[in-house]
Amino acid sequence: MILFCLAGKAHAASVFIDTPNKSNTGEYFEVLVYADLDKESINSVDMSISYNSDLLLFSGYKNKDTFLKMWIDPPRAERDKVIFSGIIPGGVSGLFDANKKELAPLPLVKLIFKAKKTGKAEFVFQKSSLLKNDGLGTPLVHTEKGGVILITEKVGNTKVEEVTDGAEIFYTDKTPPLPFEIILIDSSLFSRTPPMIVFDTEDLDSGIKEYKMKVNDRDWSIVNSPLPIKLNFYPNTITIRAVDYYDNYKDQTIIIPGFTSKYFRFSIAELIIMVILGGSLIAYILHKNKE
Amino acid sequence: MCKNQFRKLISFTLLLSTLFCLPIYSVFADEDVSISASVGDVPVQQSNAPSGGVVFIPKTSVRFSGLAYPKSEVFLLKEGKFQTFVTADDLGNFNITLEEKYSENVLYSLYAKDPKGNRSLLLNYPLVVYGGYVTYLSGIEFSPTINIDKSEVYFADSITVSGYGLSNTNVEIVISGKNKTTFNVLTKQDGSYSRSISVLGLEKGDYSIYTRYVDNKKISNILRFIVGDSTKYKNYELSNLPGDCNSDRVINLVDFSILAFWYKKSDPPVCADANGDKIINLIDFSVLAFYWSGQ
Repeated sequence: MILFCLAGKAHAASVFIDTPNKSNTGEYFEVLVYADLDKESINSVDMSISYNSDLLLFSGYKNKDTFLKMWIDPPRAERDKVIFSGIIPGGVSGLFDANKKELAPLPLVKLIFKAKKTGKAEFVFQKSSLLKNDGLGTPLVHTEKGGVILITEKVGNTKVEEVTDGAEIFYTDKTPPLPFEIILIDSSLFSRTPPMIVFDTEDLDSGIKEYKMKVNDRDWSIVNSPLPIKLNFYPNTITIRAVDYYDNYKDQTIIIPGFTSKYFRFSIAELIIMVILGGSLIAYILHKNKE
Repeated sequence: MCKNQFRKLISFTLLLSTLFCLPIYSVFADEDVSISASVGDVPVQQSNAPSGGVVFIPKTSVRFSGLAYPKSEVFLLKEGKFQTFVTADDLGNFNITLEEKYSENVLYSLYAKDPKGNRSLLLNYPLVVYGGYVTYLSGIEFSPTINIDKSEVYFADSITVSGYGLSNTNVEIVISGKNKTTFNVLTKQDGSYSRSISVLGLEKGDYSIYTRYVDNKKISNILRFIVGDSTKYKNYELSNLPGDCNSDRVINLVDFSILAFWYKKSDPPVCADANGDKIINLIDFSVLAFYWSGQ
Protein backbone atom coordinates (compact mmCIF):
# COMPACT_ATOMS: atom_id res chain seq x y z
CA MET A 1 0.00 0.00 0.00
CA ILE A 2 1.19 3.39 -0.82
CA LEU A 3 0.14 6.26 1.41
CA PHE A 4 0.07 9.74 -0.06
CA CYS A 5 -0.05 12.79 2.09
CA LEU A 6 -1.79 15.88 1.02
CA ALA A 7 0.63 18.22 -0.74
CA GLY A 8 -0.33 21.13 1.49
CA LYS A 9 0.32 23.64 -1.27
CA ALA A 10 -1.65 26.79 -0.57
CA HIS A 11 -3.61 28.25 -3.45
CA ALA A 12 -6.62 30.50 -3.86
CA ALA A 13 -9.98 29.31 -5.03
CA SER A 14 -10.65 29.84 -8.73
CA VAL A 15 -13.12 29.25 -11.51
CA PHE A 16 -11.91 28.38 -14.96
CA ILE A 17 -13.17 27.36 -18.37
CA ASP A 18 -11.88 24.33 -20.20
CA THR A 19 -12.31 24.33 -23.97
CA PRO A 20 -10.86 22.30 -26.81
CA ASN A 21 -7.99 24.08 -28.55
CA LYS A 22 -9.83 24.28 -31.83
CA SER A 23 -12.95 23.32 -33.71
CA ASN A 24 -14.16 23.46 -37.27
CA THR A 25 -17.06 25.50 -38.57
CA GLY A 26 -20.34 23.65 -38.42
CA GLU A 27 -19.18 21.42 -35.60
CA TYR A 28 -20.19 21.24 -31.96
CA PHE A 29 -17.92 21.27 -28.96
CA GLU A 30 -18.30 21.22 -25.20
CA VAL A 31 -17.07 23.83 -22.75
CA LEU A 32 -16.62 22.81 -19.12
CA VAL A 33 -16.82 25.32 -16.31
CA TYR A 34 -14.82 24.24 -13.28
CA ALA A 35 -14.51 25.47 -9.72
CA ASP A 36 -11.30 24.82 -7.82
CA LEU A 37 -12.40 25.54 -4.28
CA ASP A 38 -9.22 25.24 -2.24
CA LYS A 39 -11.08 22.87 0.07
CA GLU A 40 -13.78 25.42 0.93
CA SER A 41 -17.35 24.16 0.68
CA ILE A 42 -19.78 26.09 -1.52
CA ASN A 43 -23.43 25.52 -2.23
CA SER A 44 -24.50 28.31 -4.60
CA VAL A 45 -23.26 29.50 -7.97
CA ASP A 46 -24.24 32.44 -10.14
CA MET A 47 -22.31 33.06 -13.37
CA SER A 48 -22.37 35.05 -16.53
CA ILE A 49 -19.89 34.09 -19.29
CA SER A 50 -19.50 36.13 -22.44
CA TYR A 51 -18.68 34.55 -25.77
CA ASN A 52 -18.33 35.70 -29.39
CA SER A 53 -21.88 35.29 -30.61
CA ASP A 54 -20.77 36.11 -34.16
CA LEU A 55 -18.51 33.04 -34.13
CA LEU A 56 -20.44 30.71 -31.86
CA LEU A 57 -23.99 29.55 -31.24
CA PHE A 58 -25.00 28.42 -27.76
CA SER A 59 -26.61 25.01 -28.29
CA GLY A 60 -27.50 23.70 -24.88
CA TYR A 61 -25.96 22.11 -21.84
CA LYS A 62 -25.46 18.70 -20.28
CA ASN A 63 -25.98 17.61 -16.68
CA LYS A 64 -24.04 14.37 -16.99
CA ASP A 65 -20.79 14.22 -14.98
CA THR A 66 -21.33 17.74 -13.63
CA PHE A 67 -22.57 18.83 -10.24
CA LEU A 68 -24.57 22.05 -10.58
CA LYS A 69 -28.01 20.66 -11.39
CA MET A 70 -30.57 22.30 -9.14
CA TRP A 71 -31.15 25.35 -11.25
CA ILE A 72 -32.44 28.68 -10.10
CA ASP A 73 -31.78 29.80 -13.69
CA PRO A 74 -30.69 27.03 -16.07
CA PRO A 75 -28.04 27.92 -18.68
CA ARG A 76 -29.43 30.20 -21.36
CA ALA A 77 -28.05 32.62 -23.88
CA GLU A 78 -28.77 36.27 -23.40
CA ARG A 79 -27.28 38.28 -26.27
CA ASP A 80 -23.59 37.42 -26.12
CA LYS A 81 -23.59 35.84 -22.70
CA VAL A 82 -24.53 32.53 -21.17
CA ILE A 83 -26.00 32.99 -17.73
CA PHE A 84 -26.89 30.39 -15.13
CA SER A 85 -27.35 30.02 -11.41
CA GLY A 86 -28.11 27.15 -9.12
CA ILE A 87 -27.44 25.40 -5.84
CA ILE A 88 -25.79 22.23 -4.64
CA PRO A 89 -27.72 21.39 -1.45
CA GLY A 90 -25.39 20.48 1.36
CA GLY A 91 -22.37 22.02 -0.35
CA VAL A 92 -19.29 20.52 -2.01
CA SER A 93 -15.58 21.24 -1.74
CA GLY A 94 -14.12 19.39 -4.72
CA LEU A 95 -14.12 16.15 -6.67
CA PHE A 96 -12.89 12.99 -4.95
CA ASP A 97 -10.79 10.96 -7.36
CA ALA A 98 -8.81 7.92 -6.21
CA ASN A 99 -6.26 8.62 -8.96
CA LYS A 100 -5.41 12.03 -7.59
CA LYS A 101 -3.59 13.07 -4.44
CA GLU A 102 -5.93 15.89 -3.56
CA LEU A 103 -9.41 17.12 -4.28
CA ALA A 104 -9.81 17.77 -7.98
CA PRO A 105 -11.56 20.84 -9.41
CA LEU A 106 -15.30 20.39 -9.56
CA PRO A 107 -16.97 20.37 -12.99
CA LEU A 108 -19.97 22.63 -12.48
CA VAL A 109 -21.65 22.67 -15.88
CA LYS A 110 -21.02 21.52 -19.44
CA LEU A 111 -22.06 24.02 -22.12
CA ILE A 112 -22.48 23.09 -25.78
CA PHE A 113 -21.59 25.45 -28.62
CA LYS A 114 -21.66 25.24 -32.37
CA ALA A 115 -18.87 26.90 -34.33
CA LYS A 116 -20.36 29.27 -36.93
CA LYS A 117 -17.49 31.27 -38.38
CA THR A 118 -13.70 31.15 -38.35
CA GLY A 119 -11.81 33.20 -35.81
CA LYS A 120 -10.55 33.21 -32.26
CA ALA A 121 -13.46 32.86 -29.84
CA GLU A 122 -13.03 33.80 -26.22
CA PHE A 123 -14.98 32.90 -23.13
CA VAL A 124 -14.74 35.51 -20.38
CA PHE A 125 -16.34 35.56 -16.97
CA GLN A 126 -18.51 38.67 -16.67
CA LYS A 127 -19.73 37.64 -13.26
CA SER A 128 -19.04 34.68 -11.00
CA SER A 129 -20.46 34.29 -7.51
CA LEU A 130 -19.66 31.33 -5.30
CA LEU A 131 -21.32 31.28 -1.89
CA LYS A 132 -20.01 29.20 0.99
CA ASN A 133 -22.00 26.45 2.62
CA ASP A 134 -21.84 28.16 6.02
CA GLY A 135 -25.50 28.95 6.63
CA LEU A 136 -24.84 32.61 5.90
CA GLY A 137 -24.18 32.69 2.16
CA THR A 138 -20.73 34.22 2.59
CA PRO A 139 -19.09 34.86 -0.79
CA LEU A 140 -15.97 32.83 -1.55
CA VAL A 141 -13.18 35.02 -2.86
CA HIS A 142 -11.75 33.49 -6.02
CA THR A 143 -9.95 34.23 -9.26
CA GLU A 144 -11.33 33.73 -12.76
CA LYS A 145 -9.75 32.31 -15.88
CA GLY A 146 -11.58 32.20 -19.19
CA GLY A 147 -10.94 30.09 -22.25
CA VAL A 148 -10.06 30.46 -25.93
CA ILE A 149 -10.86 28.30 -28.93
CA LEU A 150 -9.74 28.68 -32.50
CA ILE A 151 -12.42 28.13 -35.12
CA THR A 152 -11.07 27.03 -38.44
CA GLU A 153 -12.66 26.22 -41.76
CA LYS A 154 -13.39 22.54 -42.29
CA VAL A 155 -10.97 21.30 -44.95
CA GLY A 156 -12.39 19.33 -47.89
CA ASN A 157 -11.74 15.63 -47.33
CA THR A 158 -11.83 15.53 -43.57
CA LYS A 159 -14.18 12.74 -42.57
CA VAL A 160 -17.01 13.63 -40.28
CA GLU A 161 -16.16 10.71 -38.01
CA GLU A 162 -12.53 11.73 -37.55
CA VAL A 163 -11.89 13.17 -34.13
CA THR A 164 -9.66 16.20 -33.79
CA ASP A 165 -8.11 17.70 -30.69
CA GLY A 166 -11.02 17.05 -28.31
CA ALA A 167 -13.71 18.77 -30.39
CA GLU A 168 -16.98 16.99 -30.94
CA ILE A 169 -17.35 16.51 -34.66
CA PHE A 170 -20.81 15.10 -34.97
CA TYR A 171 -23.47 16.08 -32.53
CA THR A 172 -27.10 15.26 -32.47
CA ASP A 173 -29.82 14.70 -29.98
CA LYS A 174 -32.67 12.44 -30.93
CA THR A 175 -33.66 11.50 -27.41
CA PRO A 176 -36.46 13.34 -25.62
CA PRO A 177 -36.05 14.66 -22.09
CA LEU A 178 -36.47 12.21 -19.25
CA PRO A 179 -39.97 11.54 -17.85
CA PHE A 180 -40.92 13.79 -14.97
CA GLU A 181 -43.52 14.53 -12.34
CA ILE A 182 -45.61 17.63 -11.84
CA ILE A 183 -46.05 18.42 -8.16
CA LEU A 184 -48.85 20.60 -6.87
CA ILE A 185 -47.82 22.79 -3.94
CA ASP A 186 -50.87 23.95 -2.08
CA SER A 187 -51.14 27.35 -0.56
CA SER A 188 -52.15 27.46 3.09
CA LEU A 189 -55.05 29.66 4.08
CA PHE A 190 -53.12 32.78 5.09
CA SER A 191 -50.05 32.32 2.96
CA ARG A 192 -49.06 34.93 0.40
CA THR A 193 -47.48 32.30 -1.76
CA PRO A 194 -50.09 31.14 -4.25
CA PRO A 195 -50.68 27.49 -5.14
CA MET A 196 -48.04 26.42 -7.64
CA ILE A 197 -47.01 23.51 -9.75
CA VAL A 198 -43.39 22.47 -9.84
CA PHE A 199 -41.71 20.45 -12.54
CA ASP A 200 -38.15 19.58 -13.39
CA THR A 201 -36.45 17.14 -15.70
CA GLU A 202 -33.18 16.51 -17.47
CA ASP A 203 -32.17 16.05 -21.02
CA LEU A 204 -29.07 13.93 -21.20
CA ASP A 205 -27.83 15.10 -24.59
CA SER A 206 -28.51 18.81 -25.02
CA GLY A 207 -30.28 20.11 -21.94
CA ILE A 208 -33.75 21.55 -21.39
CA LYS A 209 -34.30 24.64 -23.52
CA GLU A 210 -37.75 25.55 -22.27
CA TYR A 211 -40.99 24.38 -20.76
CA LYS A 212 -44.38 24.97 -22.30
CA MET A 213 -47.83 24.72 -20.78
CA LYS A 214 -51.27 24.04 -22.15
CA VAL A 215 -54.46 24.29 -20.09
CA ASN A 216 -57.11 21.90 -21.35
CA ASP A 217 -57.13 22.48 -25.14
CA ARG A 218 -55.84 26.01 -25.23
CA ASP A 219 -52.63 27.13 -26.93
CA TRP A 220 -49.15 26.42 -25.67
CA SER A 221 -47.30 29.11 -23.75
CA ILE A 222 -43.74 29.21 -22.46
CA VAL A 223 -43.53 28.89 -18.69
CA ASN A 224 -41.03 28.38 -15.88
CA SER A 225 -41.10 26.33 -12.72
CA PRO A 226 -42.44 27.05 -10.17
CA LEU A 227 -45.65 28.11 -11.89
CA PRO A 228 -48.41 29.82 -9.90
CA ILE A 229 -51.85 28.54 -10.81
CA LYS A 230 -55.35 29.82 -10.26
CA LEU A 231 -58.05 27.54 -9.02
CA ASN A 232 -61.16 27.57 -11.19
CA PHE A 233 -64.59 26.41 -10.30
CA TYR A 234 -64.09 23.16 -12.19
CA PRO A 235 -61.00 20.95 -12.50
CA ASN A 236 -58.49 21.76 -15.23
CA THR A 237 -56.02 19.56 -17.03
CA ILE A 238 -52.60 21.13 -17.30
CA THR A 239 -50.03 19.68 -19.68
CA ILE A 240 -46.39 20.60 -19.27
CA ARG A 241 -44.00 19.99 -22.15
CA ALA A 242 -40.24 19.86 -21.59
CA VAL A 243 -38.39 20.77 -24.79
CA ASP A 244 -34.69 20.24 -25.41
CA TYR A 245 -32.36 22.17 -27.71
CA TYR A 246 -33.15 19.86 -30.60
CA ASP A 247 -36.91 20.27 -30.15
CA ASN A 248 -37.40 16.78 -28.77
CA TYR A 249 -40.03 16.93 -26.06
CA LYS A 250 -41.68 15.02 -23.24
CA ASP A 251 -45.18 15.78 -21.94
CA GLN A 252 -46.73 15.29 -18.54
CA THR A 253 -50.19 16.19 -17.31
CA ILE A 254 -51.80 16.96 -14.00
CA ILE A 255 -55.42 17.53 -13.11
CA ILE A 256 -55.85 20.55 -10.88
CA PRO A 257 -58.94 20.12 -8.66
CA GLY A 258 -61.68 22.72 -8.94
CA PHE A 259 -62.36 25.31 -6.28
CA THR A 260 -65.42 23.54 -4.91
CA SER A 261 -63.88 20.12 -4.72
CA LYS A 262 -60.76 21.54 -3.11
CA TYR A 263 -62.12 23.82 -0.45
CA PHE A 264 -65.64 22.78 0.18
CA ARG A 265 -65.54 19.16 -0.82
CA PHE A 266 -69.28 19.26 -1.25
CA SER A 267 -71.41 18.41 -4.19
CA ILE A 268 -73.48 21.11 -5.91
CA ALA A 269 -76.66 19.71 -4.37
CA GLU A 270 -75.18 19.96 -0.88
CA LEU A 271 -74.17 23.53 -1.61
CA ILE A 272 -77.72 24.42 -2.68
CA ILE A 273 -79.14 22.85 0.48
CA MET A 274 -76.70 24.85 2.59
CA VAL A 275 -77.67 28.07 0.81
CA ILE A 276 -81.36 27.39 1.43
CA LEU A 277 -80.76 26.56 5.09
CA GLY A 278 -78.53 29.60 5.54
CA GLY A 279 -81.09 31.86 3.88
CA SER A 280 -83.83 30.47 6.11
CA LEU A 281 -81.79 31.11 9.22
CA ILE A 282 -81.11 34.70 8.20
CA ALA A 283 -84.81 35.27 7.44
CA TYR A 284 -85.77 33.86 10.87
CA ILE A 285 -83.33 36.13 12.66
CA LEU A 286 -84.58 39.20 10.79
CA HIS A 287 -88.16 38.27 11.57
CA LYS A 288 -87.31 37.88 15.25
CA ASN A 289 -85.66 41.29 15.30
CA LYS A 290 -88.78 42.91 13.82
CA GLU A 291 -90.87 41.46 16.63
CA MET B 1 -5.78 -19.49 -28.22
CA CYS B 2 -7.82 -22.08 -26.33
CA LYS B 3 -10.35 -21.28 -23.65
CA ASN B 4 -8.10 -22.26 -20.74
CA GLN B 5 -5.25 -20.13 -21.98
CA PHE B 6 -7.63 -17.22 -22.47
CA ARG B 7 -8.94 -17.56 -18.92
CA LYS B 8 -5.39 -17.69 -17.58
CA LEU B 9 -4.56 -14.57 -19.51
CA ILE B 10 -7.58 -12.76 -18.10
CA SER B 11 -6.78 -13.90 -14.54
CA PHE B 12 -3.17 -12.78 -14.92
CA THR B 13 -4.31 -9.44 -16.28
CA LEU B 14 -6.67 -8.98 -13.35
CA LEU B 15 -3.95 -9.90 -10.87
CA LEU B 16 -1.52 -7.52 -12.51
CA SER B 17 -4.01 -4.69 -12.46
CA THR B 18 -4.75 -5.44 -8.80
CA LEU B 19 -1.06 -5.13 -7.99
CA PHE B 20 -0.73 -1.88 -9.91
CA CYS B 21 -3.94 -0.52 -8.49
CA LEU B 22 -3.40 -1.60 -4.91
CA PRO B 23 -5.29 0.75 -2.66
CA ILE B 24 -3.85 4.16 -3.26
CA TYR B 25 -4.85 6.30 -0.38
CA SER B 26 -5.27 9.96 -0.93
CA VAL B 27 -5.80 11.90 2.22
CA PHE B 28 -7.86 15.03 1.91
CA ALA B 29 -6.52 16.76 4.98
CA ASP B 30 -9.40 19.07 5.50
CA GLU B 31 -11.79 16.20 6.13
CA ASP B 32 -9.41 13.38 7.07
CA VAL B 33 -11.34 11.36 4.54
CA SER B 34 -9.42 8.83 2.50
CA ILE B 35 -10.29 7.51 -0.92
CA SER B 36 -9.04 4.39 -2.59
CA ALA B 37 -9.93 2.29 -5.60
CA SER B 38 -9.26 -1.40 -5.99
CA VAL B 39 -10.37 -3.93 -8.55
CA GLY B 40 -13.89 -5.11 -7.82
CA ASP B 41 -13.65 -8.10 -5.55
CA VAL B 42 -16.41 -10.41 -6.74
CA PRO B 43 -16.74 -10.74 -10.49
CA VAL B 44 -20.37 -11.02 -11.38
CA GLN B 45 -20.81 -9.91 -14.94
CA GLN B 46 -20.02 -12.09 -17.86
CA SER B 47 -19.70 -11.35 -21.49
CA ASN B 48 -18.60 -13.37 -24.43
CA ALA B 49 -15.00 -12.87 -25.46
CA PRO B 50 -14.25 -12.54 -29.17
CA SER B 51 -12.46 -15.91 -29.07
CA GLY B 52 -15.61 -17.59 -27.82
CA GLY B 53 -14.60 -17.80 -24.14
CA VAL B 54 -16.21 -16.16 -21.14
CA VAL B 55 -14.89 -13.01 -19.49
CA PHE B 56 -15.56 -12.17 -15.87
CA ILE B 57 -15.72 -8.48 -15.28
CA PRO B 58 -15.21 -7.23 -11.74
CA LYS B 59 -18.22 -5.48 -10.35
CA THR B 60 -18.31 -1.75 -9.85
CA SER B 61 -19.29 -0.39 -6.49
CA VAL B 62 -18.79 2.46 -4.06
CA ARG B 63 -18.23 2.05 -0.35
CA PHE B 64 -18.47 4.56 2.48
CA SER B 65 -17.36 4.07 6.06
CA GLY B 66 -16.71 6.16 9.11
CA LEU B 67 -18.19 7.26 12.40
CA ALA B 68 -21.73 8.35 13.16
CA TYR B 69 -23.62 8.61 16.45
CA PRO B 70 -23.84 5.23 18.24
CA LYS B 71 -26.77 3.19 16.94
CA SER B 72 -27.84 5.93 14.55
CA GLU B 73 -29.21 5.31 11.08
CA VAL B 74 -26.99 6.42 8.23
CA PHE B 75 -28.68 7.15 4.91
CA LEU B 76 -27.04 7.15 1.49
CA LEU B 77 -28.38 9.22 -1.40
CA LYS B 78 -27.24 9.24 -5.00
CA GLU B 79 -27.91 12.44 -6.96
CA GLY B 80 -30.33 13.41 -4.19
CA LYS B 81 -32.31 10.15 -4.32
CA PHE B 82 -32.44 7.68 -1.47
CA GLN B 83 -30.49 4.46 -2.09
CA THR B 84 -30.05 2.58 1.16
CA PHE B 85 -29.36 2.93 4.87
CA VAL B 86 -27.48 1.10 7.62
CA THR B 87 -27.45 1.24 11.41
CA ALA B 88 -24.20 2.23 13.08
CA ASP B 89 -22.89 -0.03 15.84
CA ASP B 90 -22.52 0.77 19.54
CA LEU B 91 -19.40 2.81 18.86
CA GLY B 92 -20.88 4.58 15.86
CA ASN B 93 -18.99 2.65 13.14
CA PHE B 94 -20.85 2.32 9.87
CA ASN B 95 -20.12 0.83 6.47
CA ILE B 96 -22.29 1.17 3.34
CA THR B 97 -21.68 -0.39 -0.07
CA LEU B 98 -23.63 0.42 -3.19
CA GLU B 99 -23.30 -1.42 -6.48
CA GLU B 100 -22.88 0.73 -9.55
CA LYS B 101 -22.90 0.11 -13.26
CA TYR B 102 -20.96 2.81 -15.02
CA SER B 103 -17.86 4.93 -14.85
CA GLU B 104 -19.02 8.45 -14.19
CA ASN B 105 -18.96 11.44 -11.85
CA VAL B 106 -21.65 11.04 -9.23
CA LEU B 107 -22.78 13.07 -6.24
CA TYR B 108 -23.27 10.86 -3.20
CA SER B 109 -24.75 12.29 -0.03
CA LEU B 110 -24.99 10.88 3.48
CA TYR B 111 -26.84 11.96 6.57
CA ALA B 112 -27.35 10.40 9.99
CA LYS B 113 -30.41 10.32 12.16
CA ASP B 114 -29.70 10.24 15.87
CA PRO B 115 -31.71 8.06 18.31
CA LYS B 116 -34.12 10.98 18.84
CA GLY B 117 -34.76 11.29 15.11
CA ASN B 118 -32.80 14.50 14.54
CA ARG B 119 -30.85 14.64 11.31
CA SER B 120 -27.29 15.70 10.77
CA LEU B 121 -26.45 18.10 7.98
CA LEU B 122 -25.86 16.49 4.59
CA LEU B 123 -22.36 15.31 3.78
CA ASN B 124 -21.77 15.47 0.02
CA TYR B 125 -19.09 13.52 -1.81
CA PRO B 126 -18.74 14.17 -5.54
CA LEU B 127 -16.98 11.01 -6.61
CA VAL B 128 -15.28 9.68 -9.72
CA VAL B 129 -16.56 6.12 -10.09
CA TYR B 130 -14.35 3.77 -12.08
CA GLY B 131 -15.97 0.81 -13.83
CA GLY B 132 -14.68 -2.52 -12.53
CA TYR B 133 -13.40 -1.01 -9.29
CA VAL B 134 -14.54 -0.59 -5.72
CA THR B 135 -14.17 3.09 -4.89
CA TYR B 136 -13.87 3.38 -1.14
CA LEU B 137 -14.27 6.55 0.89
CA SER B 138 -13.35 6.10 4.54
CA GLY B 139 -12.90 8.29 7.59
CA ILE B 140 -16.27 10.00 7.29
CA GLU B 141 -17.49 11.73 10.45
CA PHE B 142 -20.87 13.31 11.02
CA SER B 143 -21.04 16.64 12.79
CA PRO B 144 -23.18 16.72 15.96
CA THR B 145 -26.94 17.22 16.06
CA ILE B 146 -28.31 20.03 18.23
CA ASN B 147 -31.48 20.97 20.10
CA ILE B 148 -32.29 23.82 22.43
CA ASP B 149 -35.18 23.94 24.88
CA LYS B 150 -36.18 27.60 24.48
CA SER B 151 -36.76 29.98 21.60
CA GLU B 152 -36.60 32.98 23.93
CA VAL B 153 -34.63 33.12 27.16
CA TYR B 154 -35.11 35.50 30.08
CA PHE B 155 -31.84 37.38 30.44
CA ALA B 156 -31.14 35.87 33.88
CA ASP B 157 -32.17 32.37 32.91
CA SER B 158 -30.36 29.54 31.17
CA ILE B 159 -30.77 27.56 27.98
CA THR B 160 -30.23 23.81 27.65
CA VAL B 161 -28.34 22.59 24.63
CA SER B 162 -28.46 18.90 23.79
CA GLY B 163 -27.91 16.49 20.95
CA TYR B 164 -25.77 13.63 19.76
CA GLY B 165 -22.23 13.34 18.51
CA LEU B 166 -19.47 10.79 18.25
CA SER B 167 -18.99 8.70 21.36
CA ASN B 168 -16.84 10.19 24.15
CA THR B 169 -15.87 13.23 22.13
CA ASN B 170 -15.33 16.86 23.08
CA VAL B 171 -18.02 19.08 21.59
CA GLU B 172 -17.75 22.84 21.41
CA ILE B 173 -20.95 24.89 21.77
CA VAL B 174 -20.66 28.24 20.03
CA ILE B 175 -23.07 31.08 20.70
CA SER B 176 -22.77 34.14 18.52
CA GLY B 177 -24.68 37.36 18.18
CA LYS B 178 -23.99 40.59 20.01
CA ASN B 179 -21.47 38.58 22.03
CA LYS B 180 -19.68 35.39 21.13
CA THR B 181 -18.95 32.68 23.66
CA THR B 182 -17.99 29.05 23.54
CA PHE B 183 -18.56 26.19 25.95
CA ASN B 184 -17.43 22.60 26.00
CA VAL B 185 -19.20 19.38 26.77
CA LEU B 186 -18.14 15.75 26.52
CA THR B 187 -20.48 13.30 24.82
CA LYS B 188 -21.36 10.14 26.68
CA GLN B 189 -20.67 6.59 25.56
CA ASP B 190 -23.99 6.61 23.67
CA GLY B 191 -23.04 9.88 21.95
CA SER B 192 -25.55 12.07 23.79
CA TYR B 193 -24.63 15.40 25.34
CA SER B 194 -26.52 18.03 27.29
CA ARG B 195 -25.45 21.26 28.94
CA SER B 196 -27.36 24.04 30.61
CA ILE B 197 -25.84 27.43 29.84
CA SER B 198 -26.60 30.66 31.72
CA VAL B 199 -27.29 33.58 29.40
CA LEU B 200 -26.51 36.10 32.15
CA GLY B 201 -23.82 38.25 30.64
CA LEU B 202 -25.24 38.08 27.13
CA GLU B 203 -26.82 41.29 25.92
CA LYS B 204 -30.46 41.18 24.93
CA GLY B 205 -30.91 40.39 21.28
CA ASP B 206 -30.84 37.66 18.65
CA TYR B 207 -28.33 34.84 18.86
CA SER B 208 -27.38 31.81 16.86
CA ILE B 209 -25.99 28.61 18.32
CA TYR B 210 -24.24 25.60 16.84
CA THR B 211 -21.95 22.79 17.91
CA ARG B 212 -18.86 21.19 16.46
CA TYR B 213 -16.09 18.85 17.53
CA VAL B 214 -13.10 20.67 18.89
CA ASP B 215 -10.71 21.71 16.07
CA ASN B 216 -13.16 20.58 13.40
CA LYS B 217 -14.57 22.85 10.72
CA LYS B 218 -17.82 20.94 10.21
CA ILE B 219 -20.66 22.34 12.28
CA SER B 220 -24.12 21.23 13.30
CA ASN B 221 -27.33 22.87 12.21
CA ILE B 222 -27.51 26.50 13.32
CA LEU B 223 -30.36 27.33 15.66
CA ARG B 224 -31.60 30.72 16.76
CA PHE B 225 -32.84 32.10 20.05
CA ILE B 226 -33.51 35.47 21.62
CA VAL B 227 -32.25 36.78 24.94
CA GLY B 228 -35.03 39.00 26.20
CA ASP B 229 -37.47 39.73 28.96
CA SER B 230 -39.34 36.45 29.00
CA THR B 231 -38.80 32.75 28.58
CA LYS B 232 -40.57 30.80 25.88
CA TYR B 233 -40.19 27.06 25.87
CA LYS B 234 -40.44 25.29 22.62
CA ASN B 235 -40.31 21.72 21.50
CA TYR B 236 -37.59 22.91 19.25
CA GLU B 237 -36.87 19.95 17.01
CA LEU B 238 -35.65 22.31 14.29
CA SER B 239 -39.17 23.61 13.67
CA ASN B 240 -37.85 27.06 12.91
CA LEU B 241 -35.64 26.27 9.95
CA PRO B 242 -34.83 29.24 7.70
CA GLY B 243 -36.69 28.79 4.45
CA ASP B 244 -39.15 26.26 5.87
CA CYS B 245 -42.19 28.12 4.57
CA ASN B 246 -44.52 25.13 4.84
CA SER B 247 -43.30 24.41 8.40
CA ASP B 248 -42.86 20.71 7.87
CA ARG B 249 -39.42 20.76 9.58
CA VAL B 250 -37.79 19.61 6.38
CA ILE B 251 -35.98 21.65 3.74
CA ASN B 252 -36.57 20.12 0.32
CA LEU B 253 -37.78 20.80 -3.18
CA VAL B 254 -41.06 22.31 -1.95
CA ASP B 255 -39.22 25.01 -0.01
CA PHE B 256 -36.84 25.56 -2.92
CA SER B 257 -39.81 26.08 -5.20
CA ILE B 258 -41.40 28.60 -2.86
CA LEU B 259 -38.13 30.50 -2.72
CA ALA B 260 -37.85 30.30 -6.52
CA PHE B 261 -41.31 31.84 -6.83
CA TRP B 262 -40.22 34.87 -4.75
CA TYR B 263 -36.84 35.16 -6.48
CA LYS B 264 -36.21 38.82 -7.31
CA LYS B 265 -39.76 39.77 -6.31
CA SER B 266 -40.37 42.54 -3.81
CA ASP B 267 -41.81 42.12 -0.31
CA PRO B 268 -41.23 38.38 0.09
CA PRO B 269 -42.68 36.50 3.07
CA VAL B 270 -40.45 36.41 6.14
CA CYS B 271 -40.13 32.61 6.03
CA ALA B 272 -38.46 32.80 2.61
CA ASP B 273 -36.23 35.76 3.41
CA ALA B 274 -33.54 33.86 5.29
CA ASN B 275 -31.29 36.87 5.94
CA GLY B 276 -34.06 39.41 6.46
CA ASP B 277 -32.92 41.86 3.81
CA LYS B 278 -36.38 41.94 2.17
CA ILE B 279 -35.19 40.47 -1.13
CA ILE B 280 -34.80 36.90 -2.27
CA ASN B 281 -31.45 36.44 -3.92
CA LEU B 282 -28.66 33.91 -4.11
CA ILE B 283 -27.84 34.36 -0.42
CA ASP B 284 -31.29 33.10 0.61
CA PHE B 285 -30.85 30.09 -1.66
CA SER B 286 -27.46 29.47 -0.11
CA VAL B 287 -28.95 29.48 3.39
CA LEU B 288 -31.65 27.09 2.20
CA ALA B 289 -29.02 24.82 0.64
CA PHE B 290 -27.13 24.72 3.96
CA TYR B 291 -30.20 23.39 5.80
CA TRP B 292 -31.24 20.97 3.04
CA SER B 293 -32.67 17.78 4.55
CA GLY B 294 -31.99 15.43 1.68
CA GLN B 295 -35.49 14.06 1.31
